[in-house]
Amino acid sequence: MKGKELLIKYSRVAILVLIFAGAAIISPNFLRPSNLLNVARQSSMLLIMSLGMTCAMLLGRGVDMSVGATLSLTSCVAAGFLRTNDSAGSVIFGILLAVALGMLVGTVNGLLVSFLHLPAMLVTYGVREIIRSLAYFYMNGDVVSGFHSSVMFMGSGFVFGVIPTQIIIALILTVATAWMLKHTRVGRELYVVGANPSAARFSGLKVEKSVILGFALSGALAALAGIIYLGRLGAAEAEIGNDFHFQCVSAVAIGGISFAGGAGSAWGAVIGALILNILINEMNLLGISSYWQGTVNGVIIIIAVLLDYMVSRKKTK
Amino acid sequence: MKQNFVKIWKKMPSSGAVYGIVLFVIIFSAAIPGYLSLYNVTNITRQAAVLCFISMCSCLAILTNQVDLSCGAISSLAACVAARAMNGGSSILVGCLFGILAALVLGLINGLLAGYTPIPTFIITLATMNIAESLGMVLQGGTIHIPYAEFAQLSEGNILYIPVPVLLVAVLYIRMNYILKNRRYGTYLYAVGGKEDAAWSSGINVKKMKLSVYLINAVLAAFAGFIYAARLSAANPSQGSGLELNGICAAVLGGVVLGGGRGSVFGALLGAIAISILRNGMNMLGWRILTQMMVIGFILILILAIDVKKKEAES
Amino acid sequence: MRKNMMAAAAVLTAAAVMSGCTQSVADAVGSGSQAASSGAEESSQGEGSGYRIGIFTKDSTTAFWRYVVEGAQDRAAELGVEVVEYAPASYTDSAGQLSMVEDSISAGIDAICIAACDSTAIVPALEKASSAGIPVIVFNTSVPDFEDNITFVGVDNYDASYRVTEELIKAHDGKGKLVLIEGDPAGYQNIERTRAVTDLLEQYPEVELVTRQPGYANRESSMNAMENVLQAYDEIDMVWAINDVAAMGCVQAIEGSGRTGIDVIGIDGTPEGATAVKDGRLKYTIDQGPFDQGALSVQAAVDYLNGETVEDNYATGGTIVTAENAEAFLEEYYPDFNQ
Repeated sequence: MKGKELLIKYSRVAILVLIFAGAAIISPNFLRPSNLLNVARQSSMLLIMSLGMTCAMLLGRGVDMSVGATLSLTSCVAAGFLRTNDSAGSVIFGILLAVALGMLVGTVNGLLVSFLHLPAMLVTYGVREIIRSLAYFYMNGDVVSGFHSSVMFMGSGFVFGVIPTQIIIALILTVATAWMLKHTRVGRELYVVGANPSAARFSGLKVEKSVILGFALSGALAALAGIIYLGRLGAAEAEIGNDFHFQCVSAVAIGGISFAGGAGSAWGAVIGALILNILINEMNLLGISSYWQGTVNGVIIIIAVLLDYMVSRKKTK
Repeated sequence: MKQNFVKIWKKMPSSGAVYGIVLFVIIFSAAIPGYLSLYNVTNITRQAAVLCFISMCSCLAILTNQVDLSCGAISSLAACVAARAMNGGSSILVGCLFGILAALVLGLINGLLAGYTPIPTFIITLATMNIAESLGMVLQGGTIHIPYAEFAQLSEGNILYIPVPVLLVAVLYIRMNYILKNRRYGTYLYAVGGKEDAAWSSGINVKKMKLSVYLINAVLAAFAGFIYAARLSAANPSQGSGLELNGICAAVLGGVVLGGGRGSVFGALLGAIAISILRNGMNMLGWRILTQMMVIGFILILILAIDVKKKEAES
Repeated sequence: MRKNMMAAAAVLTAAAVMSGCTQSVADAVGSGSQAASSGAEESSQGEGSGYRIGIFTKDSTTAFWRYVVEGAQDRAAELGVEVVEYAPASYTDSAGQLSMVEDSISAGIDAICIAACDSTAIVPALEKASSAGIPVIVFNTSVPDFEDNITFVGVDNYDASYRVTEELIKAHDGKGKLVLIEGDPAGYQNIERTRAVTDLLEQYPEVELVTRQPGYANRESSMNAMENVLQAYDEIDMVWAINDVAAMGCVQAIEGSGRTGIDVIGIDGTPEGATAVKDGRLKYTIDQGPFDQGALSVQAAVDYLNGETVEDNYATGGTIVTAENAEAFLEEYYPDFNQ
């Protein structure tokens, strides 16, 4: 399986390079540093959430439809602690609170999927409805704005005056996730549980624990993305993040995740998020109406997954 | 004691929808004066019609162990294409034909990829869902109004005192049920869902069957879109957003088993009706939409738990 | 395993039922504590007779509509009537709003006060209400194809947009480059508000419309649209946004880009917008008077039901919020708003 995985990964990188080159050739403005930074910045939030989605999908139980709602609820709840005049301690507490809440939601998802054996896609959709309505209840139409400078720095600030902070945060999280997935036991267990749950059980792995962890990570990363989103939007609203789950699934699918579980990587999420945003950016540069984005998204997903299929067919020949 | 319980459990109709409907009707008619009026009942049928069509889409997909996430977006696209055509001078009929055509194109993409490649149908229909919604927006960025007042009859009209949508749904379901239970196509369909390898071995062209499901779904989705648009006398590219998941809920509630091969279309119909009754009742009680969302979320999880439990009880 | 399943099912059902019940109770008692007191007032006042007035807003989550409902509930408490709130989760769900109108008719609502999500789609439902003898009060966004409404309460969208936009243009001496971040292009409110801008552009030929992009009246999309516009155009002087929420998205985009010298205006006069005007981040907004929209709608409904005369039109709002009057505006209308 490792060989096949490598081939898939390289084919993805190849697509990324091709698209990058294509964009550069078609629109010289694409290579402007400010534009490239913009693309990277816009990919950051999607990337963070896709990292979480990757962790959940490695388990092979299905997708996590609740990530957008989790982002919304956690950021709304945390917002009260992240105001302009709050202390640094309050800010740290707010962020930790958000992550804890995200993990809680993820844990509920994980419990429903592992112990009750419920199909992940549908169950997380149900949880999503509940979480979203909780977010709406909590905010009651209010908008909270005016956040601490550290939060604003994370969401709209620049490191060294040039590089958007979001990118750095996203990169750090990507490296951390990749390391966790490849070099820690709990990370590797996610793969094993996804690839072969019965074998995993035989070798004594607590499958349920891994499933819960996978979804908890998804929730936690959604919460982190939410904090950055607060800094970016400058406001907390309950409506945000409505369709994020579909974008995430698109990104990880383009990035080469296996829907049956057991294969996929953090870097796949990076590639997927970048490809999606480069395409969007290129369409903006060309002045193509944003209405076409969905079609381009859909087509690229199909191409990417078809490529998988053809590559794996070639490999077995 | 436990054995008796299991015996009784197995004998109960496998559709949770029946219980749902009975329960809801009892609760609502007690809590709401005027609930069982003819006016309200006809309202519910009109409100439920779209979901009944979409629920059939989900039912067919699930029966064959697939999933169709695109039926909502395809229904919007078909409605938008039809509306656009009508605004461009076509008659209602021609406009609808264009709409069905547009839907079939997407259904073809779905079906070819589903039948002839091993790509999970989740991903295929996710992609086509994006494409359908996007194309609808490209056509016109927002709501397109339908220039013919008669079009509304598709949802609001009556034939011999029976609401048109009721007739459409009845015709659809009776016909479908007949095909599924009495025709070869139906047998093949269940076979493909139940045990795909066995189906292969018995010479069923599994690929064609899978393709056919998505083509049928496309037409059904188109009709759902037309009825929806008739209700509002307007078509909007995002009108179908979320419908597909409601359809899946309805089908599962109605006893269509995830994993394929078991369940009847009437179950899907009952599921759609149950959900519509629930929504109507909650509206009449004046419950805020946020509460309704929470209730539906809980009920969905409950239905899934029951579905799994049923499968476990039978294994 | 089976027992676990049963337990889970029981817990979930109980939770579902409880959440529904608590909400019903909360609706009756909690934020609408006026409703409880209105019950008590019923017997003492004699007028109002416990009418149930339906308030249909465009969505259930935006602050603006919350103020509308608050205004409605306050007035309802004074008059001894009950307000029932109906709102879909998002303003795009016109079918949901239609179903709500129908269901409220079945439930015996006494009057319908509605801000239509889609001014064309809602007409059949309003006609059903009329035939059932239920008075319809249209507020916030007019429904031109429905003629049986008792009255219209709110601002004239064209008018409001015209006035605040003209103020902006005058502040720039009648010239400059303007960007339009509109809402849902086919929405009636959007058409009216943008029509004012196009008319003004004819009047002030030295104002150039650089581009017109849909922001769908929400913060996220408007922010994204504005960011794209900032990338594509180096010279921008003025930004028109469909409402305050969209305007704040644009403001955020501009502040994030580091560019200066761009004035943004919004419409609605929400406290967030007014605060932004006070802080110099937003140039102008114009008040729609949400409290009054709710209160006057309820008043008109009750007056009609009591057989009293009702006027054709009740205007609300109309104040242009500027840096000079923003603080006073906030103190008068939104004293509890803490930012």
